[in-house]
Amino acid sequence: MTTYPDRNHAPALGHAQILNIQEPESFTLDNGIPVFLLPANQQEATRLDIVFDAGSSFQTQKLQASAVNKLLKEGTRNKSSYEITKTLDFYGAYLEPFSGKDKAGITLFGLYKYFDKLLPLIFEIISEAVFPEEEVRLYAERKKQQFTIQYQKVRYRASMEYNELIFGKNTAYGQKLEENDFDILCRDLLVDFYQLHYQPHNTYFLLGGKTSPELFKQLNDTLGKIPGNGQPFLSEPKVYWTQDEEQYRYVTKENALQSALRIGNITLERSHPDYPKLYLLNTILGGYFGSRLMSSLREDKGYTYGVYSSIENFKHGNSLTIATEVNAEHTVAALIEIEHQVELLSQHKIPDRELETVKNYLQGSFLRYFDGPFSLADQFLKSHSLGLNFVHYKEMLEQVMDLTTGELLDAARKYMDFKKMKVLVAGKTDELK
Amino acid sequence: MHQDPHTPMAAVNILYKVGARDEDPEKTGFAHLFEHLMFGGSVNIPSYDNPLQQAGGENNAFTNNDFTNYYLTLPKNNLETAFWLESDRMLSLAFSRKSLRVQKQVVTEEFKQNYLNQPYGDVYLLLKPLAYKHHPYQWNTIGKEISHIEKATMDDVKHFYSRYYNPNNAILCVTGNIHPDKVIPQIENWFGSIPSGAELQRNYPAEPEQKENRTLTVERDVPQDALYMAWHMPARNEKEYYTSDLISDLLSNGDSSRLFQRLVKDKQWFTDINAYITGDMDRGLFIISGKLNPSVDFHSAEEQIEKELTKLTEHLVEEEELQKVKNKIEANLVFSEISILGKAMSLSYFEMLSKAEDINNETEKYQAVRREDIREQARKLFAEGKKNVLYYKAKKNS
Repeated sequence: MTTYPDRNHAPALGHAQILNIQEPESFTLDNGIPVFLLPANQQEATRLDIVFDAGSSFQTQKLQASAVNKLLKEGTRNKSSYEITKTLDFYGAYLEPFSGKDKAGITLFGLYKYFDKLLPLIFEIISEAVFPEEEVRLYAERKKQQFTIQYQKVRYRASMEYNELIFGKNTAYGQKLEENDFDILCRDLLVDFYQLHYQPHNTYFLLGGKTSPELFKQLNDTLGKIPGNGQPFLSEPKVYWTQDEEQYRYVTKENALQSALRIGNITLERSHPDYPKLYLLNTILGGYFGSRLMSSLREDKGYTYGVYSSIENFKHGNSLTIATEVNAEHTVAALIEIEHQVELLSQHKIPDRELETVKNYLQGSFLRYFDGPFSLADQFLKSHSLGLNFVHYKEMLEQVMDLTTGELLDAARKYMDFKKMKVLVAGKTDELK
Repeated sequence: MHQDPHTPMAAVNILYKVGARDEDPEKTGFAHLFEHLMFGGSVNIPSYDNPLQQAGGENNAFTNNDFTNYYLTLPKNNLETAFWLESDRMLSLAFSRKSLRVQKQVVTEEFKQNYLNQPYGDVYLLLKPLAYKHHPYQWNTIGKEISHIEKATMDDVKHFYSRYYNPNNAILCVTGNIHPDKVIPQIENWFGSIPSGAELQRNYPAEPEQKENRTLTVERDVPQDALYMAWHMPARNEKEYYTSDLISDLLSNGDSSRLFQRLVKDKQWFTDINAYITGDMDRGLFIISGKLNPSVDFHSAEEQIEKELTKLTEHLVEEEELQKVKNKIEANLVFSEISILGKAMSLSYFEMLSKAEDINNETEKYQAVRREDIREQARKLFAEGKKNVLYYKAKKNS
């Protein structure tokens, strides 16, 4: 029998599902390294993250932190770069280096059945990397080439310049890469940084996916033996960011078809009681596909393929950023529209219906962020660096769900002021002043 | 359908068997433009995104040469919202004039952002028509040129929709924390009454066998010379497809692969090099692309690649090296199926190829390839007169 459902009305929504995330258990290796566990034994894959306080804010020379990180696997005391990569490839594993402003490290993805074969190799990479002269030279050369290609993209230029604009010149977070930085890179610089920052007292591990007591033992028998230099690294007090006076920066690229825009400011710490309000306001402005910026700049006016606003969390300061690439002809019109959308948040209460949509959307998003062993691991890495437990997200979501339109209007007036935002344009700039 | 009790979410994937190869040569880019229009409201639901966001859902879509794929995830308690939304846009669209006008602009911006405003962005716009003279793979999913998008009319849109967006041309897959007893009646309720479309006859113009090498040289405002080489390769359902895929992995999957080790690390002819297959349903392309070290000329660079290919056609690959690329394929399959969305997408794709269960035989098909097969297939792929080469020159003093 054919049925004809009522298509004019949405099916009733189910009960809101509770965000219930188990805090990871942990144990300590013989050399004192803490290991956090996020097991998911229904998978055949295993993941190990090794995280050091070794991000770019610790470096004394630009590129130092990322080059050490990328070159860890390019040679150890007993193995050449080729032998290392051949072993990884043979077992179908991926070793992904990562480095940000605060943290740096490696993620190893592999099949559980081969994981024990990989751990001795990881031990060598972490404790016996040698940074061969030739590999360093090759790396610098290739990176420089890639940089010159990236440099031609307005998107890349904008992100680079914006980073300096928002965090300030000569600060730990505001470093800006230049072409000649690649020429200064040398082996000694890398060895210094490596010996200082890739130490067992400076790290933690995260083990996820398929695990077993045997694997814990194998981990202890290999990485639990990493020797330390016994000298805890004490960071000099440093300036992570400043509020420079410069508010507008325009980078001209002749004949650009598109202009890249970056607009934003340093914003609230995650621990601030108003942070959930800011988080929700950001979502409404540009944090999801139905956001006001996306509806207006893309869906209504067709200026762009996409526009987003986001809050980036770092250990010593957060930034709020609106980012887009627009048709160059509409550079000015897009800026005016973005200003308008930011100001609207402080002028009118958010309509109830819109607020409800965003709250429901966030409810689903939080479930999604913590779904599956590897998403959970990603979230753990982010939050652990900021000193947060998983319960923080549960509490934050509850606070978000209780926010009222009045509270949000007050918060927008305090924290979403376009006149205080910095503006970066890369591309067509002749109509700007 | 696939059940996973460990997740609070559900995923829905709908694959429509229509891609760029189904387009009229004078109206290219249509399948992809259409993907955008599918979000412009359907006959009974003015906005697709809003109710999905109300239900805590997130969605996206992509288009390629052969099919268009729509996917979403949402909390399992709201799964029925997905069926309501997807079934309505399968039944009929709203065909709003504004949506068409705006999405034409959005796609034009996408064209500029990804293909024109980007160093090396137009490579495939050049390489594909060089390699294909008859088959519709000669154009890219974004279209041959912006004007095709700009000229799209409402009649074109309606015609395309009624031809391809029908239940008999779609595959639906649901995964996550679901219960078939509950889900099957819901699917029947929402999708069961949508009328089928006319049976589709697909006759794509076959690409005649290539007899002579083809070359194209262009000059662009980019920092480095780049070389692109393409050969025709077996279709997705042929046994030799797997052999060809393994050949591309031997050449360039992972840092221990041949091209990277020999031409980037040891000798530094290139600063970057890759070999890959397009993975199309019909006969696709086997591509090698590389950025030249500034001190190297095109002739020597190409010669070095040819040397590596000759090794494959003359010598048998070592067992260990072959096992290495097979292991990597096995691991990649495991990784791709970790998320519920990954499962939903893969199952739909294999259902389109033949049947969803075949996903379980995929590793075996790769394992069955022997060293002799590799040599044999390399000889066929790289035979004399079958090469298409794009010399992408950097303008001097730019």
